[in-house]
Amino acid sequence: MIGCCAALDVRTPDTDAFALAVTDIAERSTKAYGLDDLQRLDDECRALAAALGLDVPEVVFHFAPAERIYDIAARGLPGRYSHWRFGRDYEQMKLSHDYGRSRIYELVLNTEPYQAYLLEGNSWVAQLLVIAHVYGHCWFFQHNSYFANTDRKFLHRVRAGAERIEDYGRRYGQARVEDFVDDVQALAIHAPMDVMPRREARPPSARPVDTYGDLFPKEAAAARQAHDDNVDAWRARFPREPDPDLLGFILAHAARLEDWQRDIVSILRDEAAYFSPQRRTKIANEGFAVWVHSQIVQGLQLPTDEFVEYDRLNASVGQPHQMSVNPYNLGYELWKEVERIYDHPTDEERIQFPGAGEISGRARVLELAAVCDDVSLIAQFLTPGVAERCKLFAWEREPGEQNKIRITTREAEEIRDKLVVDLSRRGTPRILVTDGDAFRMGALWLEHRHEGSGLDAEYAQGTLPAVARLWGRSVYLETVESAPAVTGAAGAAGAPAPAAELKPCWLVAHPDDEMATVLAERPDDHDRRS
Amino acid sequence: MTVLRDPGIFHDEGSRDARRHHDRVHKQIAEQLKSQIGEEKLITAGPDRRIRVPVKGTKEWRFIFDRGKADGVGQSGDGKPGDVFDLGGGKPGKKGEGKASSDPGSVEYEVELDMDEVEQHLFEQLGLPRLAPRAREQMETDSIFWDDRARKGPVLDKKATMRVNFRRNASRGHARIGDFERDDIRYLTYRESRRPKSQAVVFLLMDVSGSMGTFEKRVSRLFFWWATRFLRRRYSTIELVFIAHHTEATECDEEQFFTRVESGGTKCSSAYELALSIQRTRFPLNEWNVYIAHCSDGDNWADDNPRLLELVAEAAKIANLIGYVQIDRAQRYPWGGEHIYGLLSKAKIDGLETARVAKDEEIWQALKTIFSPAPEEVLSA
Repeated sequence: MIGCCAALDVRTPDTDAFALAVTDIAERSTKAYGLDDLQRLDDECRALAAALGLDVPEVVFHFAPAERIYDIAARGLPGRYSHWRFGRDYEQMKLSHDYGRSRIYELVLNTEPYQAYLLEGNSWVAQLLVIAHVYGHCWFFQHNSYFANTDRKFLHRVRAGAERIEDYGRRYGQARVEDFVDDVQALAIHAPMDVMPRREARPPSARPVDTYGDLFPKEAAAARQAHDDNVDAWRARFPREPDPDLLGFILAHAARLEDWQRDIVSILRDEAAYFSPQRRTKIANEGFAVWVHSQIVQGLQLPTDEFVEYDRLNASVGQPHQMSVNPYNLGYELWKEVERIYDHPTDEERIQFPGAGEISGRARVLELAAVCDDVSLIAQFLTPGVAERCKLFAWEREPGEQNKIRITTREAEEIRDKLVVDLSRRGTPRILVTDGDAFRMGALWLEHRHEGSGLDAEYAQGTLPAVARLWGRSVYLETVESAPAVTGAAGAAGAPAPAAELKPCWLVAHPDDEMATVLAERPDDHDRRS
Repeated sequence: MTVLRDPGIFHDEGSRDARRHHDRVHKQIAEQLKSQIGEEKLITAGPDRRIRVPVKGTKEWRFIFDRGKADGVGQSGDGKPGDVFDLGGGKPGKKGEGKASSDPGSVEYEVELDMDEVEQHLFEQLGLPRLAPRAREQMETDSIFWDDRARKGPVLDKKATMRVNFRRNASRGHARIGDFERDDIRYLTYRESRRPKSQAVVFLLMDVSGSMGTFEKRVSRLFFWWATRFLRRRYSTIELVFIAHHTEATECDEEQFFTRVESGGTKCSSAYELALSIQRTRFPLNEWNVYIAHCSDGDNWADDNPRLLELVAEAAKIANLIGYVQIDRAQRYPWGGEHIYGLLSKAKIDGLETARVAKDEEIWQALKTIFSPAPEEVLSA
């Protein structure tokens, strides 16, 4: 069910909750309700949320037909630009809905005011669960620090962007514009996950002052020279530091983009950046919303039959997935664990978690929900108890067997380290721009940081031509050895890469590059700065 | 805070984008089919068999982890470390798999089509060029357009009514809408669009001489097979005349045309001669559009060439189009020379299109060269 729209934009498995929706449960209450019933329910839920100590922001609920909701779900935001991919997803979801295979329950937008959609035809119980759940999400959006920089008037920009893209389609040909959008979308997933503005690269620190340099003039001069060389080398680098923001780099430095193309890159990059905190806090956010809705629904004191239906719905929402984790299930268990640790700590936990036993669990949950993302929540609170309740296991694919997986461990610590590494890169390989003027020919040199997982060759070779078209020059991709960037997680995933996987170095020559053919003959030549 | 009913404005964005996706897939199927046009399996499929066409190029490219080496974290009560799960072959693309196993864009279709759909995809861009209405008495009613306005009619047109009202008021000095009179009222009404029937006769001339090798024979049959399929499908009022020739030309029925084996020398002029005489006797020009399509290996008896040129020029005057397809795998005649392709290309006859086929994949190109209507003709066809 439920998913902040982020779910769809990035089709990585862990954020795919939307497409899953929930298998339609057979027994649904047939209680008739109208708009004023929903309004009353909303007021009630709001009052209960306030009683729980949540200062819930304003939320507008739209009671809307399936076409409307599935359209928003497919494009991630209402009014987003037109694209065949959204149409494909819309059709798939709508079909699944029409055949009664699954249905979306709710959709919430992180905007000002918060907006949520209630699907017409959902049962009364489903609507009350959704309303309660949405209050959880909106509190999280409002308070969590990763959303602090989110532009909550973003929909205006989305709409304006869509209009401009449509206009470009009319002017430069729809097929041409759509192909270009395809290319940009290939890289949009690399939008930086950081909320903090990145610090501008600084040169190596100022020339060291050597107080006793007068005594050793030769050595002092050599040291100064070495330092100056260092600074010169730094100045000569472009970009000065490896840049993970591929679209940002292309936007700023690709020489051959036309204005309309540059505009499209910037529109898509902004949208990807809007979604990135939602991806980053998926588990924490969903878990928190479940935590909130289960408390509100308890307060509603439903009649038995309605509660039974609620319970069944809740169970299907939190159903464990087989090969990935269900964010609703894991997230909820994590927050419950936080509450338990601070309310009823063991002696060991009293030492491990300062304040345990003194601060109330509920207060601590709210404190943490305001600062945690998935990685930090899991790193701290994925205890053996949580692992057991969620039945977590780590798996690996059996070599050579496409459909067989082997359980590698059920140890909470190993699972935690693995999850932390996986989540910190969100299913996206780390690709950095290390040279924007490779071979002194304006070629783009990309570096893939291995971090224990190789790139898919077919997809890499399929994506590079798109990069070359955007950059307007040849593009190179090289895989380099690198340990996971997340500290304290050098477990299984930090294993050194096999030499064979480090070898791949791909080149996609741009047709305009005369020298490209020469270079194609020696793609192994790593000495590109010479 | 508030629960609002959706304003109920018609939302069509989803299905509009879905249509764009359909178009895209459609285009890819057509592309795919064009390259397979030389494959017999398309032809031997028969009306009931279904053909599987893989649609490539719909992958969403992006950088992902190696799909062969997936790992991840899952949830299940069963199993202890070391146990192997079989996920079952039936659902390899199950969503929500581990981080790297997911194939974010591997939406690869294999569309099943029957012959009817294959032809629909393929023949979309083909048509008879310069098809002119050659009317006998029949007129065909094509379609009904609801675009006319009248003072009487079945459906009230409010917009038009207001426009008339406004104009009338304005002419009296106060431009506004109001004070409707009976005269202002306009109705939407329809008109029938009538189109004169176009009649066409297509002469299909095939070289069956001894110099035609297995490849040439096969390709010329393929070419004509597709051509007849297309012509019959598209034009209800079309006559096909099949002519096989070596040194002499004979008119034959369709089955003979596609099956019979002959040999001997080549005199291409004979075929044109026969076609012209048939045209004169059976297909008067004021009633018929005339097309001629000719397949040959290009090897003509040298003494016949001047006569051939003469006849082609004569035929070109009466025919809307003459299409000549030369099938020679070896491209034995690199520069001009004796063969018909060179001969005809040099002659620069108006209304003559030529194409060369050296391999199966070029059959489509040949079809397209010869049966390519002007853009506006595609729409009206």
